Amino acid sequence: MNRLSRDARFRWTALFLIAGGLALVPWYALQDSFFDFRWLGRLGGKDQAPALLQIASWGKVWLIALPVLLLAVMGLYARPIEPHRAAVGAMRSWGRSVALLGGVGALYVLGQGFAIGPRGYATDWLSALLPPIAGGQFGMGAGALLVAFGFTLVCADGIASMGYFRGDRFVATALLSVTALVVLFVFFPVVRVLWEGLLGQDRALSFAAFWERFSQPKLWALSWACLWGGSGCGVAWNTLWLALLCAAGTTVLGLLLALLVVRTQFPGKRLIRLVTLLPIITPPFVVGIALIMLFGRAGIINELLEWAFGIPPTRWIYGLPGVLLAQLFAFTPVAFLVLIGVVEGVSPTLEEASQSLHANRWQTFRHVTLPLMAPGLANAFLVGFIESIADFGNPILLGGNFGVMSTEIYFAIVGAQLDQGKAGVYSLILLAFALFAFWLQRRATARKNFVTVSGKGDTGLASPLPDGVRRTAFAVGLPWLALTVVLYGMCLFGAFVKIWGRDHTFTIEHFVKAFSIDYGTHGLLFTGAAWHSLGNTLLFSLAAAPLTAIVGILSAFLIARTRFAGQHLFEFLTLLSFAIPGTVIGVAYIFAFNVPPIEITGTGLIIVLCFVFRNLPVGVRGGIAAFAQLDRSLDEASTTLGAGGATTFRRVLMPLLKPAIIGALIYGFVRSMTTVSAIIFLVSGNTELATTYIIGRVINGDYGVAIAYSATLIMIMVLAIVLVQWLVGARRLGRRSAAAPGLGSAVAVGG
Amino acid sequence: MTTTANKGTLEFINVVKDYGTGDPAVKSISFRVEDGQLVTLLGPSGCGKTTTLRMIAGLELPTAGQILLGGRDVTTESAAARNVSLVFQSYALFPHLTVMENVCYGPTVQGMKKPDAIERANAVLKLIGLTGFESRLPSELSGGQQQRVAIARALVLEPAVLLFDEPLSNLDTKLRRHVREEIRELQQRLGITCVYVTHDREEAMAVSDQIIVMEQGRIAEQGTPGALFFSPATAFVADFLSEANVLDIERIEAPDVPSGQCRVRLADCVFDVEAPVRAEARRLALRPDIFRIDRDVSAAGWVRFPVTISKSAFIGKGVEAEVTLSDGKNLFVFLAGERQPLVAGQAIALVFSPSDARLIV
Ligand SMILES: Nc1ncnc2c1ncn2[C@@H]1O[C@H](COP(=O)(O)OP(=O)(O)O)[C@@H](O)[C@H]1O
Ligand SMILES: [Mg+2]
Repeated sequence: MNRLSRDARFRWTALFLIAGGLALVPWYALQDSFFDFRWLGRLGGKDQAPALLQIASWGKVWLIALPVLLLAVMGLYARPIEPHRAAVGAMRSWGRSVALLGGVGALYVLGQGFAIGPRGYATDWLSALLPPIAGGQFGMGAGALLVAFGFTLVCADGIASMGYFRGDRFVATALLSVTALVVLFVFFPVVRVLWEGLLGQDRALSFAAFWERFSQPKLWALSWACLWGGSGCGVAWNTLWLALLCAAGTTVLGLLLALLVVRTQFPGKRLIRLVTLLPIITPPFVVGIALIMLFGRAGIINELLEWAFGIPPTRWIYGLPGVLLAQLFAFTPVAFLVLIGVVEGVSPTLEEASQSLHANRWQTFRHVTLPLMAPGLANAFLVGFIESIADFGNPILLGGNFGVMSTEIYFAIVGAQLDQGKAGVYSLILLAFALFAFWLQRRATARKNFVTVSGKGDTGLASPLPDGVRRTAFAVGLPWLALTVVLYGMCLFGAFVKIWGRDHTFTIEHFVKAFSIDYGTHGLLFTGAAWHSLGNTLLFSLAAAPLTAIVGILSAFLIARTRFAGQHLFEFLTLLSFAIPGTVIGVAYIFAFNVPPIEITGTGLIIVLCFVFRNLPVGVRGGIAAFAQLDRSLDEASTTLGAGGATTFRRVLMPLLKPAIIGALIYGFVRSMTTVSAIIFLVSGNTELATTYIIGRVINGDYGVAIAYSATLIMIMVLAIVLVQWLVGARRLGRRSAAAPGLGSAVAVGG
Repeated sequence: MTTTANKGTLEFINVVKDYGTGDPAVKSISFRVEDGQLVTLLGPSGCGKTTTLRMIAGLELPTAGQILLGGRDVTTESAAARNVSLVFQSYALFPHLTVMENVCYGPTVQGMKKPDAIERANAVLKLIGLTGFESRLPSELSGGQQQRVAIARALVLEPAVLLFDEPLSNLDTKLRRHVREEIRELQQRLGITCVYVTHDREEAMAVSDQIIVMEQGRIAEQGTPGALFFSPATAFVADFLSEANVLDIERIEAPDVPSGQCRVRLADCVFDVEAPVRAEARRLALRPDIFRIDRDVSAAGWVRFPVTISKSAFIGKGVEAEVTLSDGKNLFVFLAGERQPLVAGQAIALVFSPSDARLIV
């Protein structure tokens, strides 16, 4: 009885969503905000009318299929099958019909949107094939969303009734929804941007056009100059060479630091751990600006050299060396976070075994320790590579004449040229680099996934490092640490002096300029120049973080806890955006979402969606790691006690996954606050963000405000992290003996 | 087969479970559990016991076949909807909930009001002897106490069938006997149908009304503990339940064999044993504990045969020995009450009653 009422509730919800979406809310996207609810008074209007009215009064006859499908679903629901009394297979075929109707409904909403644009049929063959229609339509809105979701629920109900997912509607719904979202907001935009590269001037498919864009010497010119970033070297080679150097450099540095922390008596371990967290909450440009302050033409080092030895300052920092240096500082901590777990995971027993076989320290390190760490090293290398090719802030700040793909894509879109095809082809190349790196990493570690942590009985002492390795670790790690501290110190200094490099009198005018508050006749006035962008950034990041966590944990649940055909493909899709450089995602989003049926360019929604799906892989991976530590019998116990999937998720899994969820929340928030490459194309005057505002200041040479703003952002993020930990983390976790999985792993795989 | 079915009657009809590995984990099994009985699934590791249990619970759906509960087909019914509770091998207590919250979980997710749920939980906790522990977290309980919470959590729903998956495997040896007695006592007091999984034959015989012995995804035999122990029909069950010696023998047709008996020859001895259930039986099962050393005290009709000792050890409650028959066959025997190991190479005579020997396939 309980079960029936639960199913019935689910079905009523689906029907209400569809009916409401058809009859009560505007079908199309509104010019102004949905949430001011002014449309309530104008539901008869051409733009605001719900679907039923659109069919009746405004000639949108093609929508008629949706109410018809709704009636069909209601017909099936009116005669539900009683599983206990039905003949064998009757339940299955009933479920199949329901699933089919639901699927057709959801796809029809989407399909008609793509098929019929503002000027009627979107393509010629559609007009040739289908009856003529008058007029067209613009982007879909709330009504379409509700109806599509309602039909998705119906489809899930059908699938569950057929007996899949152990008959659990929640799981079926989650799978369909997440798949639809990921296909729509990751897969579709990426395919769309690549497609753009294949279109000629007349927007017809043209391989010649593709080849022309692809084969430019600007991309592929190869000369000795490539090695030191000189001119005359193709942009593609620049990108690749920079990424290789960056990946190798961050991996070596990260390994040395990890060895320093785990395997030596170095006293500053806590400092290293602290410093390695900084880049995660540092807005882009900060490292670059600090490098300019230090090594630039007017930088301290150059001034010193000129003053002491009369060496004239040069501009060497602008180009490959500067970009590489900035990337090394920015991304080494990420490699460190990946590798510290790896170094800690090498079982001392194995090293002791090696030494008991008369291998000396170096032989042990070389033949046992290093090979055991190989998969971890490959992983760190991959992350460094991807970070480098996706990096936008450092090349644009320090690149000078040294162009890389991400900046070229930017100029193809925002420059005078506005060459979409070029942006498409460049994106394709960048994506190919990223996927190639993934493939290499997979291949390199395919048979080498050693389990080095065996659980119990690993009580041996880690063997001391060979002297050479230890000395190198100190010789490289300490200067790195010192320089990082100096760099951040410089930044702080820059925020509080008048004009950095010329007038070093103390001032807080940069903060005042950005964040002043006046008291006027209407009360408080936020007159500071940065308030607008800060407000947007906080709003969008706060909206994106919980969404990232929800979609991420749900995806992880589906991957870790259920079985379905195409599961590997599903996992690949959810993790895909990790391999897609931010610039490519940004370009992809404008191409995909500036035309109907999903027309959201210029809104805050597109930025939030971009945040969510760009940060999704971290949520997913963190979630999978956390699920791996939760015994499956806990879910099953809950199920046998009569809880459905949703209840189990809410009352058993969520509380136990709290650390992973907090990790995903914090990560989603922080990454959104600091991201620039992906959203640089997506912001409009209304939706300016902190990072884009900072770019503007940097490009104007207004470093003071840029740094003051960055420092403020860092403070906000630190406060947010502390607050979240304090709010969510207090209750009961302390009394539990089980180790809390989550944040550590989530950040480590973040990249 | 009767057709009446009470609340707790459970029936499997030609159930198959294939995980897609090529070799089905469960290969077309059929059995029936009567209401109020405790039935044990017994078999070596990997024979499909847990899979069968999980199909009863609804955690796995059968690839083919039908499952009836209380006479109703529940084959495709979801685990949440089935009136069946499972006590997990690892207990699977929710670590973030107290004992009381764990026990109340089932009733509340099924829509019962909190006060009613607490009342019922209190009754069950009292029944199981856990009063006073309500506000502890599972991590603050001993293994035995956690086990009881797991049982209380399953019992509070008053399920039609209660399932146990190797419930004693996480307890130390001393506690095992105690807990198994408690489970049996509770089951009989409440008259609840139970399906119990174990690989320990002693445990199975101690708690069960019926035992279903499984072998590689099939049911080898089903019966009461006594029937399976004393008169197995298959070599597998004879070996698994009593470590019986299984010997090929020669059947002798003769006119003077009493009805219901078969005449067989083992080594030099010819004797009559009870006729087998399956006519094709050509092997003899001889439990190790049916033998005595012949000290000219053997009762009438006992079989006497000479053997040579090859190995022997004293194990406290008696002496174990491996002996060789005159035709070269080996036997493993247990001689209760003997106080000295036998000397290897020594020739002695052993006796047993032919009524303790079984013809099997
Ligand atoms: N989820 C699964 N996927 C594939 N094979 C499984 C799965 N669960 C069990 N098996 C296989 O099915 C067989 C029976 O397993 P199980 O029922 O757990 O045995 P038992 O409980 O008797 O030890 C084993 O061979 C096991 O490897
Ligand atoms: Mg088992």
